[in-house]
Amino acid sequence: MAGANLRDSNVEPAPALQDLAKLNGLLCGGCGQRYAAPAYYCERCGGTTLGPTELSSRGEVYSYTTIYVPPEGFEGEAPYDIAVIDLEDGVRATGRLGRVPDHPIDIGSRVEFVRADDRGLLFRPVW
Amino acid sequence: MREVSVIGVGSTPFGKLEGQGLRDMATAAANEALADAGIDRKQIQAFYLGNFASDSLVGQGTVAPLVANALGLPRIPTTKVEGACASAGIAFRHGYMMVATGICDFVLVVGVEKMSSASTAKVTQALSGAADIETEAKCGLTFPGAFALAARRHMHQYGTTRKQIGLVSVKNRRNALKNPKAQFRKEVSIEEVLESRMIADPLRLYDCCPISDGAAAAVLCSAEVAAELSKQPIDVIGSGHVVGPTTLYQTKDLTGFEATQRAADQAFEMARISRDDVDLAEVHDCFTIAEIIATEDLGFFEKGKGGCAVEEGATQIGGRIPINTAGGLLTKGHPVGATGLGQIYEVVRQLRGQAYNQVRNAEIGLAHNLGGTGAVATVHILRSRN
Repeated sequence: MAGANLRDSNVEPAPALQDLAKLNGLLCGGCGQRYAAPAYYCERCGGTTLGPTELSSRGEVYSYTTIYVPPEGFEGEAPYDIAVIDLEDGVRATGRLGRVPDHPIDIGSRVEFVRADDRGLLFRPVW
Repeated sequence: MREVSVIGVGSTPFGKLEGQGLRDMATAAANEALADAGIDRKQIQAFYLGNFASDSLVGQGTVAPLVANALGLPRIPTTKVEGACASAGIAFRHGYMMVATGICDFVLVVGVEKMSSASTAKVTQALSGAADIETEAKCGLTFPGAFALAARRHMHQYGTTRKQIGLVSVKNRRNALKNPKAQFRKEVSIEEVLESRMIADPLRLYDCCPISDGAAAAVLCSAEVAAELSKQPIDVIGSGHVVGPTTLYQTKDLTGFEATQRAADQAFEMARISRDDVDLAEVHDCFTIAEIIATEDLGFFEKGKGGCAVEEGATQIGGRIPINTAGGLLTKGHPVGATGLGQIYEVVRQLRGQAYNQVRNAEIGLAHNLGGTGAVATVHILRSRN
């Protein structure tokens, strides 16, 4: 699949009842602690048996930035936003943040998971 | 464990060193350190080389043996040490341990990086390799971007201002004016910093360290022998080295780096001194905000007060704790694998009273080296014998 163009990340805010995409993560077989992928060891119980699970698809922005000078492979796509997201189940994840025209984001803004692709995770703001 | 001292240091200028390769720079720095130490290179018993990305940037691996042979070192153990931007600090730590444990009497440590001959694309690719390529590098997060995320969080949590962050650049530029080995020897005003090109919001061009070439070196020996060899031996009284989270999403609090905090605690515990005893510090200012965070993580200022400290002048020469007196990574330059030893070079010269930008009565100095987005840190505390 060709690289997702980050300009396509200008997205519409999600209608409230739309099915949310699944954000895949890992679950400790020993104690149930959840992790963003990749994870091989459970900090909470010391277990090394982690299996696939679904993480919360919603969360809020812990921090964000706009990249103006992109790395190799992202030429022509800047400016684009990256955020560290605190998901509702307590797991933290880093991903791109789609832009919604006229709706600037800030720390604390509510977001939801859109999809995972060859550019990692994509989130978008929700109202 | 015995006491260890530094008896020789050397450094090339840092910057765009046209026509100078890894061996040119490494031998220049090492020869200067050996001459400074006044010992024969055949006395060296182990060699550690800090280097981050010579394989990617210039296509050269096997760098430690290459440099050791170029130097004419005897048939001794040679080791390349990599820990992203902390490579040289970690190399220094290993040299320290070889002497402290009594395994070696004389160790040479060199840090070197050649960045300017690679294309911008290659350099950014190599640098992004210091982050997690499966997660954060994959989504297009750059290093300025990672520290921009930290900056925004620091501003949100503590009210640190954009101006306070920018003042770090102004201070370090001013500090480097007298440093003939610095990459930049021109002041910038706070207005120029705040109006410079946006790189990753809120960090701008003058908030970021440059791409640099360079090498630095140090000769270590036992404290006992140092007294006979050097008029001004500098003792390593504290050493700390710790791993930290390798991604931002695994970092509990983005306003601080756990690796720095723990390495500092280790070094201060070993040295048995307090933060107030330190006369100057070379800290890892890969970005302006990184200096502010480092001064808090190292324990010089309360968490969240690092920005105010810069604004009040506490980190200037003459202030409570002068930080980055030679210009820091921002101004001196950041040849990644050499930086940790460039810091040792400055601290040693300060403690000998030979610095270009001298802190009065400098007796105890600290060097802090951080790799990646907090992935690994070293802290070393040095003291002169007065």
